[in-house]
Amino acid sequence: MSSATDYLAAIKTEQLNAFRFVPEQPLTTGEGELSDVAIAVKDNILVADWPAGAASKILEGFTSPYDATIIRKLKKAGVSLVGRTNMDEFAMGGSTENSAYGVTKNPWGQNTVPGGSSGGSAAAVAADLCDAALGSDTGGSIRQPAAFCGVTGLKPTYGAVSRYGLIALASSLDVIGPLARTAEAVERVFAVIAGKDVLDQTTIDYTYKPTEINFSSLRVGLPKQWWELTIDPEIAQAMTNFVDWLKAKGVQTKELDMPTLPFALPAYYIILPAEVSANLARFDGIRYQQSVGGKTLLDRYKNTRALFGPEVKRRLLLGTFVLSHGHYDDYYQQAVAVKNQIAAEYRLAFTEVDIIVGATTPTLPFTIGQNANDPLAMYQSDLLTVSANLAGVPALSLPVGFSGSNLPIGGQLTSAHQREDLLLALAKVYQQETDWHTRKASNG
Amino acid sequence: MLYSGIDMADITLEDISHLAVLARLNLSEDEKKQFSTQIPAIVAFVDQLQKVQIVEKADNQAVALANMREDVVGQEHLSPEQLAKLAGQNWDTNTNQLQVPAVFGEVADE
Repeated sequence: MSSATDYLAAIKTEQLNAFRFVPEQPLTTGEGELSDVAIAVKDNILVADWPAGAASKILEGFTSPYDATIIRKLKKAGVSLVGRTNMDEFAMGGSTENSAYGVTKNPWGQNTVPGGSSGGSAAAVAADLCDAALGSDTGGSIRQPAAFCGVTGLKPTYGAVSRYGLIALASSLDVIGPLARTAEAVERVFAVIAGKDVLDQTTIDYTYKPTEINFSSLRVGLPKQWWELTIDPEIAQAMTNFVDWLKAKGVQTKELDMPTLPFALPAYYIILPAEVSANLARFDGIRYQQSVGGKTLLDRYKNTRALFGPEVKRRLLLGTFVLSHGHYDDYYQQAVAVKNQIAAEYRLAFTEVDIIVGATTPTLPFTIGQNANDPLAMYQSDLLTVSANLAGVPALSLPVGFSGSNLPIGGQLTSAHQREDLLLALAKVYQQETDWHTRKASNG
Repeated sequence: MLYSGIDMADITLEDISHLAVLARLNLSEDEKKQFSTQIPAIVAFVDQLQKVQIVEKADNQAVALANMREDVVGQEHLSPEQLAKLAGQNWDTNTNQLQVPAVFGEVADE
């Protein structure tokens, strides 16, 4: 295992553009249960006295005045912080191509994207530039890049981890979570960052306790709405192999029928832009440094907000549309009703099964530029991940294979609220018996 | 593509311009043209939600919270020094206040 200083030296010469900010020295914080862990922080999580930009021009020059709650917890646990990672601007995107500072390259090469929006974090872990990284997941932004980069990433239960100090995207969906090579490392970080926070009223009382899997009594669900989709055949095969592994361990599997699941993606692309349009209203040229003047205050708003990138503007317009007079009921209210219905279907499913299994992404990592001018094609990358955010349930992506072209494949495990212990326990056993998660990318 | 058929929702270039005003965004002509094809396609995609049979009517809250607000004793605040650092040149150290551009009327460019 490398020291934080070794990591920093590697980070300073890395060619992937995985990092937005690299400190002169690692920020080391003393002794604690994580003092052997060097962590990279996604650029939307505040670290006091470090810049924070969410990879956007509109936050250029902004320095965090305080630590996010989870950063305070991690510092107390003795971590070393080695830098801030690149991301899609304001966490909007599935490829890190929407960063105002250039895309991050997938360490597995072939000019592919690392996924997004936590692409820098996933790439940093896969390229062995840190022990673990922090990401945020609103529609799949930890799990999808984890799948694309061949690492393990956890989206915790909504409310399990404080969002105080996370630059908000969609406040009813955002969750901070860890990425690392192994489920064991993910678990160590999650145990520290989970828990109620008086500064975030959406947090729940949660003390994480690891568990052991009892394979003979474990019930696994396979939603037919996922398993009947036409996805990349190599991913489909890897997932079949994963289910075969479960069956060989004595697990019972069951087909699930979740009829509202196919509507998760359209519901997400109403709710997310709606909440984004509210959350990004604060970037007004009065706060946060960047301010482009004009004759009137209104000019100042409009000229400053021209600093947003195209995907951000697209979602702001969309959000404004779905919340506007005459459209609010048909779009936003309907989407919230669909969200609640999906949550109810998950609750019902988890009375019959313990873990739901499916692929993390419908495609292998795509090439840089492939979806850049087609937002709808880009949004499809979230197809299999968004429903967990809508339901608030925890979900983990772990490496389950590689394509013939040596690109990583991720499988997704989902469980009921506050049952991260099941996901992590299962992943740990799988990683004892397979080596996908140990493979090294040659282009890191 | 995994979705079938793209119907363009009835959103015009003028609608995009109006939405931009509401969202306080300056869009270039190129951006307006690009968004006037992309946004209707996205709206047409999300329109499929109209087909969903809703079993139970939603409440207005996207997040179920039992307690919307509680008074927290000993809540930390940013100190004047932290605020000054944050505000940079816009901080008036005499009054410990943030100077902002005038809200009403026209002002000369800074």
